[in-house]
Amino acid sequence: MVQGGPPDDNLFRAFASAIYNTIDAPVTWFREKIVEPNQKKYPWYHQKFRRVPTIDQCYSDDVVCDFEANAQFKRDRAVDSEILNILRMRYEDCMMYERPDHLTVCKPFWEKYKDAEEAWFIKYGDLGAYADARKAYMKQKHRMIWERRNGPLSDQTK
Amino acid sequence: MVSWSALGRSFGTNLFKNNIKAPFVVQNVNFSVGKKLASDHGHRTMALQPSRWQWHKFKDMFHYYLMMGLIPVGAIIFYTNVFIGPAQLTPIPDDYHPKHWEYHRHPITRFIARYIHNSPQQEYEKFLHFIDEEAQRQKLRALEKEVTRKMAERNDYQAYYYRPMVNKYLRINKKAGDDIMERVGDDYKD
Repeated sequence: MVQGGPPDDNLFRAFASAIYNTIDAPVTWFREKIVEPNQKKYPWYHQKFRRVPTIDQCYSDDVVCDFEANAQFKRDRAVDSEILNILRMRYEDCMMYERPDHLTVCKPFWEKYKDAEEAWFIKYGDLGAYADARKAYMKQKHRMIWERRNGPLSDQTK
Repeated sequence: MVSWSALGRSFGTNLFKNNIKAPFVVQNVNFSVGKKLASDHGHRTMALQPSRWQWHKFKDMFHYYLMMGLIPVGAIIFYTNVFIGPAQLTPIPDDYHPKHWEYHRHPITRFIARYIHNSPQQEYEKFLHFIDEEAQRQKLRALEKEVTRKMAERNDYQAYYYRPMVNKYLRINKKAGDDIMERVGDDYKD
């Protein structure tokens, strides 16, 4: 709440917040007076997973190594998708705040997001519904062969 | 109107014969007050009315689910949220390895993860062992299949579950026979 400046004597704002507070004030009072003093404080953590050998370091008949590499691939893909999400939300927040001149003001966010999206697609895109660590590895192999014949694909792969 | 069942047929005919009371009509349904039954003393009457069984059953079920379901579960949830509360996210201390239930936020989830479920690491390792054992079985089966295929191809062993004679000389003789066949052919006069 912003404290300071001349007191707000806008009638309509007062009326609107009075209506809001008919629901909000009892709930807030209950939470602050009864719920929060009684709650215990104890921690929870985010799990950190160890790095295991990736699919290119596994023998071809080693199913255990293959399964672990796959699990790691899926975790990495989830993390990368979330990172992309955060970059996109940053751009969208900037755009909504700065509209109508968002095209110039939010350009750095847009550039970063587009680069990240391209990199994500190069690594994980078009693998289908049953994406695998092995399929991603093969995709990388095909891309490198294509690049050897046709030159670099984009800035992200240099 | 009212339909007479087999049980009430005599009762119904009695009613019909002795119905001197004014009919009791509610919303076009004729409630007839029954004649007193023979086995009672006093004047008990049975009201012939449409069945209220569904309403009674609804009340039963409502009370059951409220008392056994909503109130105890609601009380437990209220207690855990108000007096225990969800956990705070903290970075992992350096020398500490958290237990698997300490990765959840809500106390009921933590309870379930701690006392009801197996730890995810245990399940993961069990699965790894299972697929490893299955892969070994696959390799054994593949090897057996390859051996029987070679036996079928070369025709030098009859089976593999009893110990045959040594087939080395059989193979040498067969090879010699094949060479002769190549050189001379199978042209013979009978």
